Amino acid sequence: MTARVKGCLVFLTAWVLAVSASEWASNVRAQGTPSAVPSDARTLRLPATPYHYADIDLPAHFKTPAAQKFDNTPPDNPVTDRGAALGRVIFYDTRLSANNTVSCSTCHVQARAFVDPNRFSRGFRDGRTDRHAMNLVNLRYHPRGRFFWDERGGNLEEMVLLPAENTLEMGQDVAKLPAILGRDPKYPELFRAAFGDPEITRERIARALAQFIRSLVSYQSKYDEGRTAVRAINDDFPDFTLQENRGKALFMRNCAICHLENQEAHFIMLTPVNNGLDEDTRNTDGGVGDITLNPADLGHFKSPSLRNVEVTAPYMHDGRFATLEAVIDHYSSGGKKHPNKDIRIQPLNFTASEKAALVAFLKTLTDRKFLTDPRFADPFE
Amino acid sequence: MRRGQLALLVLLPFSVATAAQAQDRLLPTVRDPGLQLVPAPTPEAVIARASLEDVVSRMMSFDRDRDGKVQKAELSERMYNLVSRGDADHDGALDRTEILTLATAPPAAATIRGIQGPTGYSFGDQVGFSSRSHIEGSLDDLRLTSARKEQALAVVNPFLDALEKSASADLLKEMAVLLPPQQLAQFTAALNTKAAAAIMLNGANGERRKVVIGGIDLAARIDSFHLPPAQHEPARAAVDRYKARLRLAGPERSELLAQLNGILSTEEQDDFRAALERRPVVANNGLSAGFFATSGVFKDFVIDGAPTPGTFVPVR
Repeated sequence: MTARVKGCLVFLTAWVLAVSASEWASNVRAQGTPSAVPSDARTLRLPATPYHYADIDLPAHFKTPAAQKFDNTPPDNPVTDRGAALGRVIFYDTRLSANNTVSCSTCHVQARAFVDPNRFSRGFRDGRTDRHAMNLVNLRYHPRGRFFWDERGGNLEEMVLLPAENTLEMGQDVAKLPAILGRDPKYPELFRAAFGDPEITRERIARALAQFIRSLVSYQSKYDEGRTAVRAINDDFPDFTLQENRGKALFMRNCAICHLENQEAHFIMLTPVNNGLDEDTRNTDGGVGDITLNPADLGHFKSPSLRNVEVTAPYMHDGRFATLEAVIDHYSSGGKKHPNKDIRIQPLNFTASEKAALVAFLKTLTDRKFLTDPRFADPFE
Repeated sequence: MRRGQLALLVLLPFSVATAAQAQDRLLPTVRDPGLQLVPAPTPEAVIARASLEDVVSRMMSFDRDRDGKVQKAELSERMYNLVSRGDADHDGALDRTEILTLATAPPAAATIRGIQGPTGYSFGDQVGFSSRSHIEGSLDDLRLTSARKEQALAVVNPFLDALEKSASADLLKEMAVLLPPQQLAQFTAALNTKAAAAIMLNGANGERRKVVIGGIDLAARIDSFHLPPAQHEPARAAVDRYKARLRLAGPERSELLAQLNGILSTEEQDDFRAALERRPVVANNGLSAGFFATSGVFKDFVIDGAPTPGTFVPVR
């Protein structure tokens, strides 16, 4: 074998390995499993001019006084282009975990509206969580400003680093994070751009992450286009099929009292509720009640936005429902007899055609632009 | 009309004495001169709340070594804060007494910044909302063509007119033997009042809409008479039967569906029947989308120059 042939073989082998590794890394990221390629071994690619995150041009139904009241952005941490850009880098950085294997994006996958496609997430030491990772869609518009299924996170700035220090999820000593990130020469410059000087602090890390998460606004779904085209939400949307309009009407009559209160943009619930998932008060997840120990909170869970619900399976806090049809079957049945079950959870007994129409409507909430928006994608190559 | 007044109007069917005092000033279109606004009734579907014992039992289920205490290590990490908050004797664990103390501590105020959250939920027909609007809305939800919808309405409307007339007559017949004359007159007036209030809203697009807000809840009216139990209970039962008839909870539903045979397809009849079997729930402050769904939503109405989210019910 000539030296030239040997050289070609070495090159080809390296190329095949590189492509395979790249595809594998891409696949594992899409599947929500820990990346074996640490961020500091990859190349950070950011646009010369930061992406636009601040003051996005929202449709009219986001701008009504009622809808705007849902915005939980604090006056001292507005979303800025450079702040959110920094938050994006941190979000995808595996150095947030103790052994440099897991980033926020491991369990919050953009293509799946920032949920984990797995029922339970795998932590930095391969341990499994006991709840499904919530989606991060439009967290900006949760007016109560409390997060996680049990609302233990007081606000986004406070919440964002809790998974990093959780001993099962990322296991990081967040007090050491500024020093860890500071060892990468790119970070001081990113912090300077975002905050005016290169100092890296725990508070600034949290603020940047919160800005990025608040920038994750989904507003370009088929529903949004339809809503923009009509005067009132109960009018048939011109871009909808008959089945989708029928599903919308059914949603407005039967589901909106919980999922679309007081506005037409956010598809969230104002407060956590018990939706009758379990009858047992002793041996099933107590949700908010496990945090407050208030009997009235037992079995109450926060609801994520229904935006992009088509791609956020599995559903509920424990991912017990694999499909939208299973979720609708649950509400159709009226749920189980937990003493705290909300009065709004009544048997609805949807017919097969009604269920199909509801699913068709829910799929109009999918925002493909959001799911593939490069502003929210992994900046490490 | 100011925004605050509008808010009061929206709350009227569920308000107490203060609204009653302001009634004449705020409700120029009320047609019931004897109208007295009364507290909202206790919801029929009373929620039995979990008990303190449920909480203690739940917490003690974490006591894996059965030592009568829940160690921090026995809890999920998300619950560690409970030990920090409740470990009064500083032994690193929570015993039954400490759990009870935590569970009976005043809950943190639940706030929703800048938003008037719902003040609870009730079945709509229980608090004065029209079952008829639900029935017509359910028909509308079938998304029939205009011609077929007209055909269906030509059946539904006379059917409901006749039903309302018959049910009202039967109700008054029962009330005549239960109520003294003055209260019977007040009850009759309430029964004949289709809505509690009507106002005009100016839409942002120049459109003007007459808005009807809620209705008069007949059960609450009965409660306001403070009758002796021997009259009160049968009077409430009569009202419940009346409401059940109006929401087609009895044989009337099958009668209506039979009349629609030939107009609606089998699948549409099934869907309509399923919708009629549902009992709409509304937010007690009348501001929820669930209420909007049965009434229609128009945003950014202008009242005295101030943009105001508005809702309307087409006046019948």
